[in-house]
Amino acid sequence: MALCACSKGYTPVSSSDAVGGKNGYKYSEGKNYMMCIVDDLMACALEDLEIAIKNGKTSVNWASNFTGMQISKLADDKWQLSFSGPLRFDGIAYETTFTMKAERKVNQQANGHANWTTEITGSRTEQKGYSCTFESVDPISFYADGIVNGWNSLHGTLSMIVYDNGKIKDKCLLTLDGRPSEATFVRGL
Amino acid sequence: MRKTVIIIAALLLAAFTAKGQTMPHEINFYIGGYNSQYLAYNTSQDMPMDLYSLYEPMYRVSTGPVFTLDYNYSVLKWLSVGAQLHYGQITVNTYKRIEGSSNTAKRDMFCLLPQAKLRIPSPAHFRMYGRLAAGISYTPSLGVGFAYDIVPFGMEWGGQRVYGTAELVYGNVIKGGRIGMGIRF
Repeated sequence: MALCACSKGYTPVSSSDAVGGKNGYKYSEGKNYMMCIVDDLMACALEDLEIAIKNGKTSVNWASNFTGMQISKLADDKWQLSFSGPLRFDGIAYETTFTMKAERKVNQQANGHANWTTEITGSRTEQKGYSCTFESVDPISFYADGIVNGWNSLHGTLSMIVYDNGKIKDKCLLTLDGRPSEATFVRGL
Repeated sequence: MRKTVIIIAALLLAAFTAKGQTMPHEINFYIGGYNSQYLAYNTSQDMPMDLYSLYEPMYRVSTGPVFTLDYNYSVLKWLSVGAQLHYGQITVNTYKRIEGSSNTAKRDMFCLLPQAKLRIPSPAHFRMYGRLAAGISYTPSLGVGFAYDIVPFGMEWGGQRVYGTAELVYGNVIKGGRIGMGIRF
């Protein structure tokens, strides 16, 4: 299973259970939520970055989930992405703000994608007083192996703090060490 | 809300002051069903990927057979007012998505709905009607909720005093149909 912008390459581990299996579901969907940050946000933004680089753009001025995202070049093979606007994970679009630094490690694999190492910090404001902040604890790397579309190997750590009406409700950690489905999720830190 | 209360009060007042109707009281007993979603708190079909639905318990509620007792008083030849009482068991699936757990429990459900029954001109032994009802439901652990019950088409057959009845129902307690019998006095 590979991550690929706007194609929902990652399948939630518990999606079949969540619709009402007899025994209920067995996995925390917190993992799915954090994988949305990795997939629907980071991987999709990287894909837009690749399009922007190819076309010499400094902002996403085409129809995209990240229309308006600013792209600044920091150094050779290093860019910074800044976005603020509504972003849909799987359902409702919520106001999301992030800044991501992306360094290209290996230029364009056979599937058209480069390998990237990223650092991100951001926040998301959702309904009924819920919000979260997230940041990469370790740089998060996206590897494309050229066989499947998108990035099918990930390494790094992403942390998230969940707030309920401004008070900390939970602290979570997603550790990526290989295929997206093999990510590990810990909460209640 | 105030307008609704005034209308219901006026109809009930009219019911108690009406005169001149022969056998103005009727009591009906129904059994109805067809599994339906009963909307209470935090029910969600889709459970979107957001923090609220991850951290707050989500309930999915369905009803089994529902027993209904209703009383109507004939205010006019074409209009009766009264109330209906429902009892049924509902199945409550509670999902705690952030914990990755769920459980299922049966709960009793009661509903009390004031109603207006509208009669459509029809043959004496085949009487057609429609009905509108809105009120409250109560389920232990889920609390009080809003309930409505619309009968777009119903029919009674048989004598004026004892009769059978069948109706189509659309509401948030039952979607489907109900059959029963009634007496008029």
